Amino acid sequence: MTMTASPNPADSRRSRLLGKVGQKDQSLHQQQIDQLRSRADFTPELDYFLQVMENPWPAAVSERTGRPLAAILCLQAPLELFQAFGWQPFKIYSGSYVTGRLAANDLPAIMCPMLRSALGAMQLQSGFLSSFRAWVLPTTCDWVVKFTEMMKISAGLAIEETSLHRLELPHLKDQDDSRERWLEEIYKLKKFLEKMTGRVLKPGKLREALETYQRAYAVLSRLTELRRQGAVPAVWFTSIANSFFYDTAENWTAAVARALPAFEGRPRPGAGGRVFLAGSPIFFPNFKLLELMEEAGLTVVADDLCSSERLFPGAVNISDHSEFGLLSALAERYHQGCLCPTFADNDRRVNNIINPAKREYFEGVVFQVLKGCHPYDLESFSLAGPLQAEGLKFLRLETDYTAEDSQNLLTRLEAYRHHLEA
Amino acid sequence: MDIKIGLDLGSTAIKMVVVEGDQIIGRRVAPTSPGQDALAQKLIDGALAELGRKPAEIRGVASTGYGKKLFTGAGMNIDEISANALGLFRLSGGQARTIINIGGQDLKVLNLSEAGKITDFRMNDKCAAGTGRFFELVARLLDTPLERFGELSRAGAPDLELNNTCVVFAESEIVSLLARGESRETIIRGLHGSVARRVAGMVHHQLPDDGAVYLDGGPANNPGLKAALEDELMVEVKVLAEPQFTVAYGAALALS
Amino acid sequence: MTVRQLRLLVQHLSFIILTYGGRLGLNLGQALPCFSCPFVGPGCAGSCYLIGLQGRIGFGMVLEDLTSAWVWHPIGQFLLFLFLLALLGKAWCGWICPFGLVQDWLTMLRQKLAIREMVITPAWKKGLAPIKYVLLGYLILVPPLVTAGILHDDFFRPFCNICPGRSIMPLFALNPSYLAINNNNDVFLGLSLTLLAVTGGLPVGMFFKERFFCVFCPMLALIHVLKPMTILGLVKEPKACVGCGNCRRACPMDVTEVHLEKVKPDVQTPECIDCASCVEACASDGALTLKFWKYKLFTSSRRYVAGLAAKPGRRLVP
Repeated sequence: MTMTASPNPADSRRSRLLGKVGQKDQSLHQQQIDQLRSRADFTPELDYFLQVMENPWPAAVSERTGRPLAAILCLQAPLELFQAFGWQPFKIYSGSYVTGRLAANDLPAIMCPMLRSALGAMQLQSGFLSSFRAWVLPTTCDWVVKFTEMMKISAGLAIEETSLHRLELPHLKDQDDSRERWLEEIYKLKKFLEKMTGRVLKPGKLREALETYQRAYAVLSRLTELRRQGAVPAVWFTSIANSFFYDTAENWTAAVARALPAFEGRPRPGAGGRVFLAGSPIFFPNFKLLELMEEAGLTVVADDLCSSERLFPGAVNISDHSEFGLLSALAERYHQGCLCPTFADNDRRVNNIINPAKREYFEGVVFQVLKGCHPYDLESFSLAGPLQAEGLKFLRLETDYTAEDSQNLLTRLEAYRHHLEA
Repeated sequence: MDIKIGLDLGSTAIKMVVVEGDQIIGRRVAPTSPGQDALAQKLIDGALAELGRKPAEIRGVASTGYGKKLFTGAGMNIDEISANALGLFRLSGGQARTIINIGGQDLKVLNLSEAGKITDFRMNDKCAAGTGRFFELVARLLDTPLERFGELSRAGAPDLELNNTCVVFAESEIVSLLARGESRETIIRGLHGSVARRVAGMVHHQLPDDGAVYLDGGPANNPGLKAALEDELMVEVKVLAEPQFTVAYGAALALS
Repeated sequence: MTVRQLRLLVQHLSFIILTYGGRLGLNLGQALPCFSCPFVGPGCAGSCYLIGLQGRIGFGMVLEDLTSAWVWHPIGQFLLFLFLLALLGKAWCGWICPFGLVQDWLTMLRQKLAIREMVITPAWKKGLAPIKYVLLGYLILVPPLVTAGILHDDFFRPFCNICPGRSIMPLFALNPSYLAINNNNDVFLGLSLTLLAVTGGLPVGMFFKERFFCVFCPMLALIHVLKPMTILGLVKEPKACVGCGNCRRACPMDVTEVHLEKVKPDVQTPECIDCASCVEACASDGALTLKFWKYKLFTSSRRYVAGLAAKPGRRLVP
């Protein structure tokens, strides 16, 4: 559900375009929700996630959570910090196939479809900028680095300098000075949030926030375990993961805990066609690939998408309960533990797939590249060799925010399904 | 003896084979047009009538290709990549290790094991550059039937390179080449070379050291393309008789 | 029960047994690979091998009288030491050592008070690491010199005279006498003043830095030197590690190799005390394992970590 910006009489053509795209976007969004709701494996416990995804826009999230919103991109800003200040982190993204049209004219032809789509989607929201008290953006890939510039150019939205905080991400992980620099960045973020909220960070609050996120991690972990057994269809896993940023962590955790029994009783599909899904993120309603995989008889039992299993780093263990201890634990976890392909020394990323204890659950790896998502595009080549050397069958698929390649993708997925059996 | 039907509902043509044992005893082809279900049925009925066989003798019907689900009379569906591997491996007498399939809008490259199982495959993205569509467009543009491409290309000068295999951009390039006075033969030869380069880009690092390379799909009938591929890949490329039916045949084999 | 709870239970039981068990007549010998200090008095149920290694019953005695049947006593104790060490390796440090538990108490207190832990930088760590080997050399080399008459008798048990175990552990038997300054002669004065300084300063270090003393402990050095004999150890599956750093943060000894190792399965570093904190903190299935001979005692898993994560605080479903 999206709202159309109030028509500007000076530019009626633009408002007509906004209306047209908004309507199309809304109908496709709703169509995807309805489709999920009408699935045979839908249960009432899953409705919460569809309700959240029905309206993942700032006004609704504000109302749902009763908290001030901070806009974030990527996974590097420790979510627990926002939680400790009583704020709701809101992840900017869009999976819409149509909103990109609103932004396309002033952007490179080949660019991250997710952010292009987001740049369009934010134009459909009235008062999008003023929905957020703060913006916290890390310097991950080029698209994210240039995001505020693109917002200005293509969406005409300029974030106020005072409410914008950038996190400069060290692109090396295995070096002590990178760790130290990142910890400094996290301290700066803390100070920024203290300034924006007018409050001082209390270690007790931060600990509580950590515990809240640990519980979220625990339920996600249980869901992940069930998924390894083939009991959680990819569309549901993704819906659940996607909805995380649009309600409080507490509500989400409770909802996942309620939904777990629905999957615990699910019959497991046969042994064949179990795959690991790697690559660019998948956000609602861009479920094309997930649905095609299902149609081809493939079951996703694991993934490393930052939109699904890597949703939040989780498992932040603490040995020092001081503010310094908590912040360094968070800093390390969100940096060292991050498997984003933008890091330079990323050789251990492949271990998340070839881990011998995990490997037994799947026979192959499907690697999705969103056209224009350069870090994952590059990795699709650098990971192929090591994965094949481990005896994993590898399928690289490049796709875009469009349905026109569905048949082509399906053919490949079906052949891949046969290939897995061979 | 029972017979099996294999149907390949492609983007350009519908191909059908009647198989007895593992022999192809009848084959038919028709251009793809709306109403593929009825069209495919007509092909089957026609072939059976010609062979003097009764529908009751059909043990199974398998369909493949983009339109595989459009044919309601099929007992099973199989994807065209797996069908291609099955069909061509059998027809090559177990010799094929690499298959290059050029279809109406696809390019596919398959690697097979000694047992005929797919070990790796590649397929073009949604872009139709260098596929059958491209040849059709050039044929129209040069007002030359596709069947003559092979023979004409032999007469062309060898050093013209076409920059585009894109269906859209090749058109303007060819028009300007014609305006520059390049001969039809040279342009055709050049275009074979450019398609071969595009295919080679998909094949090269998965070309096994030994084992035969086969070319199939409709455009495989064109000896000029075969020659250009051999030139580009620096290996012998084999083409079977009636190469456009291998996928339909593979679908029929999948029934057993 | 979590592994940490189990470890604390074992540590407390062994503290009680080793410190007070002697009063029930328990005697576990004189070859224990941990700081079970006989200076606590009659309660000590078995003594630290370092004392045997330095004293007349140690190698000094072997040198003294090679023909005596008594020679076999130190050899027997040495073999017993090797056996105990082979069996449990550094678990003596992480799970049994009573002085280790005293340090852990101070750490728990610091954690309760949410006081920041002192950071020992890698450069400092590298500089401090050799001290324990120097102490080991000191306690092995000095006694034979005493026996040979090169050094004065006052250097008898040279390490015990400066060991904080000797001053602190007897406090648990309400015996503060080893804190007294021994002014009998210059040697004793020097040694006892050193011990007093160590005893005064060390708890501060142990409060601000987890397992601070272990960095200097010659027993840790001795066990590590004999590492090839031990059948208990920490192993890593490098292919399962995504490098998140949880292990490094969990480590009381600030070991970095477990985190950084990308090739070798053996990650039993000189500082490792086999406490298994890293295994507990690791959410990568099968990345770290505490192994006893060929048996996996405890392997890291996401399920275990998630189980810990779910524990504190409120219930999951409100």
